[in-house]
Amino acid sequence: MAEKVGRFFKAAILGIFMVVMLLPIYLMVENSFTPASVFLKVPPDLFPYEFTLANYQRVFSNQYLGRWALNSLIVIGAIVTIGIVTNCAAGYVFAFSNQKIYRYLFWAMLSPMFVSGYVLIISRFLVIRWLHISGMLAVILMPLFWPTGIYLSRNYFHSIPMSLIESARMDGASEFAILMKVVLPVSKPLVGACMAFLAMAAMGDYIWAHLNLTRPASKTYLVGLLQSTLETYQIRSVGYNLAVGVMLFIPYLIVFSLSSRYFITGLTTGAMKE
Amino acid sequence: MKPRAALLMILPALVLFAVTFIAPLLLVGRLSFYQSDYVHTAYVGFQNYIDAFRDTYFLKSFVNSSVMTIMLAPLITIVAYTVASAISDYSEKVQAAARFLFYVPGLTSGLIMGILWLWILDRSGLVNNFIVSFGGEPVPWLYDLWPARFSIVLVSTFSGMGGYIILYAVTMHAIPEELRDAAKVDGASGRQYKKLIQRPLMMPTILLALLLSIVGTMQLWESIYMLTAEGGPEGGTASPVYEIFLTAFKFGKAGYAAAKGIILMLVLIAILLIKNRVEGWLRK
Repeated sequence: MAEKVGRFFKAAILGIFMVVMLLPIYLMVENSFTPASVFLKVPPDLFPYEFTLANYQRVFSNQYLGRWALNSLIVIGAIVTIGIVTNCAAGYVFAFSNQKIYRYLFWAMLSPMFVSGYVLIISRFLVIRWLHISGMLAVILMPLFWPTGIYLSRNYFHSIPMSLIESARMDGASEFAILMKVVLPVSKPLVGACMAFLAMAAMGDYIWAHLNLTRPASKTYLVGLLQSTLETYQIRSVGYNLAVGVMLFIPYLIVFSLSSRYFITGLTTGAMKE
Repeated sequence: MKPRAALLMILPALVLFAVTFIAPLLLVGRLSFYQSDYVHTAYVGFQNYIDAFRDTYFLKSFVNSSVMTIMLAPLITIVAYTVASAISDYSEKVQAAARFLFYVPGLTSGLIMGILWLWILDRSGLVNNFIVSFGGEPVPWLYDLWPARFSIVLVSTFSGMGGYIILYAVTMHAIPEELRDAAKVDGASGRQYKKLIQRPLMMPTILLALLLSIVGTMQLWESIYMLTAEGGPEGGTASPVYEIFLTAFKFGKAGYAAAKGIILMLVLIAILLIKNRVEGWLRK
């Protein structure tokens, strides 16, 4: 009996806590369908009954919206594909090469995890000026190196039976072919988790993209939409701002829903094999 | 693995490592000895470092982060651990659903949730609207020192909690079943198991989470940018990273910002070393 009461309490507390955690999201969605006049009311309507699509119409009437989405898709696509291949190739070498130098290099390559990217922004500008690249290319280039991915993939590959690799080598496959055709296909949780992480990081890159993309048509989805809320903050435009918030939130939700089953397995297998 | 094949495969990552990390890092180091406003550059030796240690706003940013860590870390550690421990008692399916739902608020960066919090906490925003309608005085959530700090901590709690819950849940999940079974056979209650077996095993993860929250608070940028763009009242919410950002881009002092960046990096490395020391000491 006591145990049952305890269980009930635990479930109730978890439930209440979950409601509290999700409350901000609920407020954002709910009020993005609310007309401007409601926000001026005192006391506020927590459950407004007036419904409008005007805020979303304003978002979609933005002439650049499609362009920004396309720019973001290009940036995210490039970062995810190039990022996965380069980082997994590095992880492969760290997992399967027994040359000593790679052991040191592995730890050296993890060092960026401890340096804030914000501190490097100024000098990253100097680097891209040297390389004579700018705009979208710069936005794609800088987040490509991803130490966490190298760390996760190296640990994950360690758990793959060596015999699998040996037999592919016997068949005369090159190391890169083994990575692409043998190792990655049996590492779906890892690849899924890495793709999700990289995509979300690419989507969330604001300041570097903001500083590099100055023409209206060249902005990314996040930079363009977020700035449209910052330029005109006032209580009247809250409905529009929240609609932008929802629009910016949806891509994250899609990526996370698609990848959540890989998330945990991709991480645990790597973490536990250390 | 043939050395040539290994080299070829690591080369792309190596080039990216050099271009996006090593080169910028060396350049920051060099820049920190120069006075630069992006156009004119002059060598000043250690002057930037000397100035940084006398810079009230820079020193204050470390105080800000410490204060916010003290407000944030115990709360997040206790709540996330308790929640993770509670959901570990349920079936696999419920656990997965719970982890998903708890992670949703933290999916996006503080930038996007900042849009919402700006409205909730603004002078004439949602919270103040409630306070006024109950006859209270509106609180300047974003414009007074302590309310502003509290606001930033609140936003960080909401966006950070899910990640910590997942971290704890995943590590707890990896504790071998046999340990729990063995404890049961020896007559330990569920509560005894959690206190005597689970908690010691989770100690390294708790330390890691503490480290992450300390380092995370020092590098906080998004929510500060959205809610207190100038670094808050009396510079009272700016994290070191945000202070460096303001130095570089608002005041246009690139060299000075670089020196501050190097100091911050050394502080972060020191914190990491302390954490490793504490871990080694706990293991004994």
